[in-house]
Amino acid sequence: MKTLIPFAVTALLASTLAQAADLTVDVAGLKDAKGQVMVAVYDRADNFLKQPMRAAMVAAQAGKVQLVINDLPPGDYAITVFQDKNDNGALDTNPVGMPIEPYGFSNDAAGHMGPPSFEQARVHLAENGSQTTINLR
Amino acid sequence: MDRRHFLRNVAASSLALSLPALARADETQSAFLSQLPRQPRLATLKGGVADQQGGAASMEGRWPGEIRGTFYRNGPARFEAGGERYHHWFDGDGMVHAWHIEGGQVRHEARFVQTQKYVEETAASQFLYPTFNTFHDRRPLGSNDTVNVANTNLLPHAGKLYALWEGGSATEIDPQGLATRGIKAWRDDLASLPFSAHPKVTPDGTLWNFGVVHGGNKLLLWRIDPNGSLGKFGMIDVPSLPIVHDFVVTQRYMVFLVAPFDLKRGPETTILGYQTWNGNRPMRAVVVDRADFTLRKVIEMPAGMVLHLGNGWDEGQTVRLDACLSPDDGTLQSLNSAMRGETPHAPNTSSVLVTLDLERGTARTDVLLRGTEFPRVALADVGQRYRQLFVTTSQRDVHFGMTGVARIDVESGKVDRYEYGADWVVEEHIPVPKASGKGQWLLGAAYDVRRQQTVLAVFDGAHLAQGPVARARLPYAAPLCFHGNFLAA
Repeated sequence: MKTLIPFAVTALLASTLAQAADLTVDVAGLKDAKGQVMVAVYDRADNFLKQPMRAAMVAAQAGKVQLVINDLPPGDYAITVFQDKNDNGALDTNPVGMPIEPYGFSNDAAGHMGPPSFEQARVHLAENGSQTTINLR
Repeated sequence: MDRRHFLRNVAASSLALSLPALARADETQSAFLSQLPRQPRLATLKGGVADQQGGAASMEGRWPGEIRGTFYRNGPARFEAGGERYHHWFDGDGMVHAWHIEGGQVRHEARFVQTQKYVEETAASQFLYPTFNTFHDRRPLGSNDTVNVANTNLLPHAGKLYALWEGGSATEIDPQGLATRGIKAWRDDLASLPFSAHPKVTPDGTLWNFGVVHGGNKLLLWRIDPNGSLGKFGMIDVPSLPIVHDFVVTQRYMVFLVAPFDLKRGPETTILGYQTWNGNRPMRAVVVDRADFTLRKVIEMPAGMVLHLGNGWDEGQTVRLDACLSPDDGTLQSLNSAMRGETPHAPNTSSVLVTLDLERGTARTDVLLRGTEFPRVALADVGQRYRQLFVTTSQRDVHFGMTGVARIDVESGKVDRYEYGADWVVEEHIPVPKASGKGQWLLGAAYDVRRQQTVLAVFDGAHLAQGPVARARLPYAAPLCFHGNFLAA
């Protein structure tokens, strides 16, 4: 039995590696270098904007920043991004719920009086990796 | 049906489906251009003005030397881009104007407000964003201020100058030279909130304003203190809250007349398209306590539509105010037609005196004068009991714009009136206090249809019927403006 374990672990590792791809997210349209750029990755419509499967952040700089989300299973994702200018860890909104920090969605998707759907923001991550650009607004 | 026939039908129907969207804007433009020779008053809606305008006026008559300062104005001036024409007058990008008055001479200058929308659309050579009543979605919106056209009013307050549009933030303008300074946030967390285009400044220098979040049923309330800082912000829930353009402030209240629009949103609905007139529902007078921004009373009135109100005051349980009331939204809708070169409706608004009984919850409406718009009162009268109401007037057979000015005594009903005539498109005229402390001058611009020039006129407010005291004539036509204010030197 014992001799089988290394084999099983190796097989598991191999299969994981075979199914892992890197998603490169370029975030454009930063007006200043305040705070952090926060990225959240969602893999299912039913947890969109609720429970990201992955999150990442990078220091803001004027113009453009790049984040690479490593080792994601190839497939469809929706990505949200915002510039946390005051480093409070949240996308600040005004009293009627409109964002007051720069934000964006993959596909540069736009909702109607609210955020877009997972479907509108859906991007595909290929087996050999993909790149997407999100413009802050 | 065989397969080939079927495919041909599909191709034909998809062509038919895609054409209206493409052709609609051009249709507005070609209809306008074909009608223009027969509709010389509509030349004011042509657009196509340069980024900046300016020139000295020639004087007719003797300009009162005591009127020194700047008359700030604002109005939409870009209506076309990339071969597409806007569908409604209110859609256009704001251009701010300054009439500099000094030593009996008048000089005019105007510049487009460099809003995010204007800058991006200029660079793209086409419209990108939705407006009041034309739908484009070539770029995603960030907030209300992405589509802020800053086109409705230009108000000096506490040393600053603000270009205003009712759907978003105020835009700060440099009072010298009219360069755009940027979007104004009264407090960091109150960014991107609607700050309407009709604030009222009470004689103590306090600025009162409101805002409506479309689709949110929230009435926002603002008090900006005389030093220009935020005094108070509040928010109350008003069910089925449609567009609200103006209000009055009294000693104790802020009063809104809310029209009976049903709100129905589709995938490509514009702000105006979102509002469907329902004459079976009442107009509501919404009375808010101005001290603590709480709802005091809602009084139902017969269905009606009000864009502009002049002033109001309260005495005990009674609130009185004047408003330009129309029976429905016909006037608002007719401004769609005007952009196509059509003028199907004469203006049907009347100045009325509304009396609200807060105890009984009743309202009474008395007509002061028919065919009016753009009511204004003296600065010292704002929120106080007043008698003199200044308005623009129209003629029954003239179907676009105003043709004269009038002063109405709201107590006696007496009217003092001057008609420029059907060859003039008369803009809002505003009272400017006389140096003597008694009485008002009346100052306003008008478009001379025959000579295709814009003229700034000044009247003795006590004797409008005698005609203007002086007229400052530009050698060109300036875009028609909506609202403005005078800042004395």
